[in-house]
Amino acid sequence: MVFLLIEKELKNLLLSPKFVATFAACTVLILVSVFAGIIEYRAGSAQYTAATALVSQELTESTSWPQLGERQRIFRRPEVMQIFASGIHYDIGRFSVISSWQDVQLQQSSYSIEPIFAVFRAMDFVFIVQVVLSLLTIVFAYDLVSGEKESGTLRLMLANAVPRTQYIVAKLAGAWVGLMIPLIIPLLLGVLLLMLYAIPFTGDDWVRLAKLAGYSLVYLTGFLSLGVLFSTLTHRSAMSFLSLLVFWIAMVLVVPRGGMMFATQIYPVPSASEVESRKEGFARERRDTFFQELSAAFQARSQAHEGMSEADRAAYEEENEWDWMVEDDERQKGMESDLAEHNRQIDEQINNARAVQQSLGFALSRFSPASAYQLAAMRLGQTDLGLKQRFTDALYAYRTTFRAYIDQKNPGGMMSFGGNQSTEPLDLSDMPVFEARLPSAPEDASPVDLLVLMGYIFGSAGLALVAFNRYDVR
Amino acid sequence: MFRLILEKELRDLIGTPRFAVTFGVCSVLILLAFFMGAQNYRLMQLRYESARQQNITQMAGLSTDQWVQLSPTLFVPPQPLAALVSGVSNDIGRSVQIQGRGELALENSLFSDNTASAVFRLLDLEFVFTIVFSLFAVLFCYNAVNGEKEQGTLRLIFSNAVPRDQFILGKIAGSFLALGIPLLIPILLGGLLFTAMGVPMSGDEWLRLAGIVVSGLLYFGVFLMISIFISALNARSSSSFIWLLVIWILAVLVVPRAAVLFAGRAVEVPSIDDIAYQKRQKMMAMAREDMKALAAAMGGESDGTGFRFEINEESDDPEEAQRRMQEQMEKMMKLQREMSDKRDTEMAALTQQLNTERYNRQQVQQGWAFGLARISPAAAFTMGITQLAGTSLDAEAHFMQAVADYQTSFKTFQEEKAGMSSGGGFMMTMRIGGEDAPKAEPIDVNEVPAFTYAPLTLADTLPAALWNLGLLLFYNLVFFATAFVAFLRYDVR
Repeated sequence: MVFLLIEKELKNLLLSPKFVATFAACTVLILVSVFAGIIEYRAGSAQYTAATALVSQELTESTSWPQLGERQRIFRRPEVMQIFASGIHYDIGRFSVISSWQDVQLQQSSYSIEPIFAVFRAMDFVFIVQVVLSLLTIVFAYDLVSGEKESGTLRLMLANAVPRTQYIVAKLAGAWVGLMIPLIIPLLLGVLLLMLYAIPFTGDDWVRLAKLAGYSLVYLTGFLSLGVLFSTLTHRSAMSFLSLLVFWIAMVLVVPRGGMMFATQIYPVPSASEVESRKEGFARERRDTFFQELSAAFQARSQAHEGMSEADRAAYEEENEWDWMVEDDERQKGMESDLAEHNRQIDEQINNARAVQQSLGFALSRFSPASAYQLAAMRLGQTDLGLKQRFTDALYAYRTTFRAYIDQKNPGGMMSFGGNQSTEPLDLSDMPVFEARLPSAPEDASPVDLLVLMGYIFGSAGLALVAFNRYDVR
Repeated sequence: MFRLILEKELRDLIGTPRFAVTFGVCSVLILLAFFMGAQNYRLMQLRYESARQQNITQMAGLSTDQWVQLSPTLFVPPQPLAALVSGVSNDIGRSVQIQGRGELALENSLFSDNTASAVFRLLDLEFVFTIVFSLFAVLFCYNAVNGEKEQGTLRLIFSNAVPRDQFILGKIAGSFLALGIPLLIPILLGGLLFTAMGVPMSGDEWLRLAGIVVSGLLYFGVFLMISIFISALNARSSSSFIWLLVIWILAVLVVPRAAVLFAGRAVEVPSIDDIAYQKRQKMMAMAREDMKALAAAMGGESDGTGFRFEINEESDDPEEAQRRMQEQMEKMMKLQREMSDKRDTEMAALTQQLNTERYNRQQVQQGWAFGLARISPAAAFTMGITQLAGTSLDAEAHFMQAVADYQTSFKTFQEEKAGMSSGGGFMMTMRIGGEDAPKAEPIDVNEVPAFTYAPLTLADTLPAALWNLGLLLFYNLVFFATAFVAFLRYDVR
């Protein structure tokens, strides 16, 4: 009986103009979004390659180690999965200068250097699924029950020996299969597009993409069940559509934005400018102390050889030059490590505060399936909110290695200016290389998202079952 | 007759529960947008003041022999209208560090700082208007004509002596009055809320807000006309609804993004990294040459990466030695300043050239991208209101112009105080040490030139915005005409 009902439901759906419209819209939108993603990815990769090539060129042109130490810039490499989920990729800085004098700081986000693309934002697969396809799913499902009542077929159907439970389950299953077709076929075409453009997907990336497709199905199934639920709660399809639309506006458009905005206002975190000012204030004081110490040392040294003859003085300087250099270098390193430590503390404070703010925002918004889906999708796309932190951490780690490398090559440090320099290019063969692939986002760190999405499916399907068993079919 | 139809239409629409629900939702959203906007503005103001204060404290830590190290940070002051129509204001940087010379860059955009907001975006008036207003229009008018046909009322009406043109005019006018005008109520309440929450709005800003609201009504009108037009093309309301939904998705969500993405990427713009590289190369080459020249003039040596020479004017007469030393130092300072000036001029010329090239390409890119995007009324609307609110792409250029002007006066000030200005290549500072050196006093921060920023006014933004508003008006007229004609040919049976 169930199979018969599913078959009937599917035939009904597949032949309806609604299905044709949804299928056409899904195909166009998914393909356009994947194509747009590919174009953006290729533009980003080309930009990345060009920028890193310029940096390498500058590095090889360096003629001294201290100079090299101030020239390193590390760019963030675009990842293939951002084609589907761009997340915060365009919002955070693309590179940071690696230097002993400057803190790691992400600069020039894509949107800040090309604000034209920020005007309407990106149109990635996640956006299409989250906003557009969810709306189409509602259109798909709003009249599944109330529509049959209006057309009188429901009465006819239940006049036969059709168990209500089986009927509603078949309705859901039929609509689900009908919905998957317009989703899976264009997605497969999108995958073909990836292959056509030879986007370097690794095995890991394919797994992520498959998971993303899975999450998208789960998300849309949630809206389908909700559609059926609303349709069994109302007697007129216009009413069920209106209430679903209000629900959709609230869950997809309002709650995610509102939740985060409320969190920002309830729990404010100092802005980047304030943090920078704080760091800069400390750095200035510390540098002043450093220069005072340095000039005191210079004075002490020149006092020590006062009264000596020219020859003695030269010999004395010769004898002590190395020690002095090491001493000064240590002073400088002391200052640098003080600055690094102070900045690290401030960053930690800010990051902790930001984490509290974010979890508050998530708590306020995650009950919306759209938020849950987006957070999960961004993690799969490696463009989640943790990306900034992962990149910054990797940069700090690299900075340490890079500084150690410079120190090892140039034991005298910054103070060792003088005759030991040549204009020969440096041998950079053993220079530490920045690992362009950042550590992955912890995918399973938050099963909450999946739970929320599953909750919507089972909750609304269960309620729909109960509601339909009590439904007045007349 | 027209008045009668209008009245009937008004009653039909306003009396329904659909109106109550939708109007309620819209009102809540509009009020929420104003409330959140005001809260956001207050928070931004607080952050802005605190960042400025910290910057002042930090500058006050300098002493009078450190004028050359002075490098104030300027912040983009928060604008009340930007809290309602955020545009790209959160994507472009909010602060810029000033040095006497050299190029300036806006850094620390709000969205790069607070990435969670970047992902979920803001609930502002721009969003409510663009998404909700248009959906509202579609939802109410998708069955304006064919709904009456399905119910049989259309046949009934035309069995009387009702002219078709008056009927459709009444329908359009009635729908607009019944749906558009009530939306003004929550907007007015929102405006009051904004004032009550202490957001300072100037007369100019109120006028611009009025302009934004008028644009909102025009935009609403476009979707209303399209809906009536599609409804008059279809015999069944369910198919007109599907059509309209597809049109809405395309116009509001897809076309603006796709147009900018595809047209934008089709025009090649010189990359900012390449420009920065060329500038760094030029700067280093010039610095190398100048170091050598400076070292040679002072009788020292340089390998192009650093230089050294000795100022060692020994004499039996300590005063004489001091005087000669002073002369030498002045000579060096003068040379350095001359070289800096020369480098500055050359760098400025190169920067100007590279930036102009980039700017010109960007203009071509924008022309294509926005030209194509404007096919969608949503894009024309967004561009129009962000221009009115001063949060369009022009806003950044306007701020940077003010900052560049400030840099000129800051450079003069710094040169007066320190004898030289900071930034733009290598620089050597000297301190006369020793026990008996004059003790440096802390600087007086009040002496530093103040930065006053005059935000864009209605007069600045109106010409560009009028273009987009004109386009919206044009769309209104086009769809009005098509709806009118389509109905005159409609089969009412």
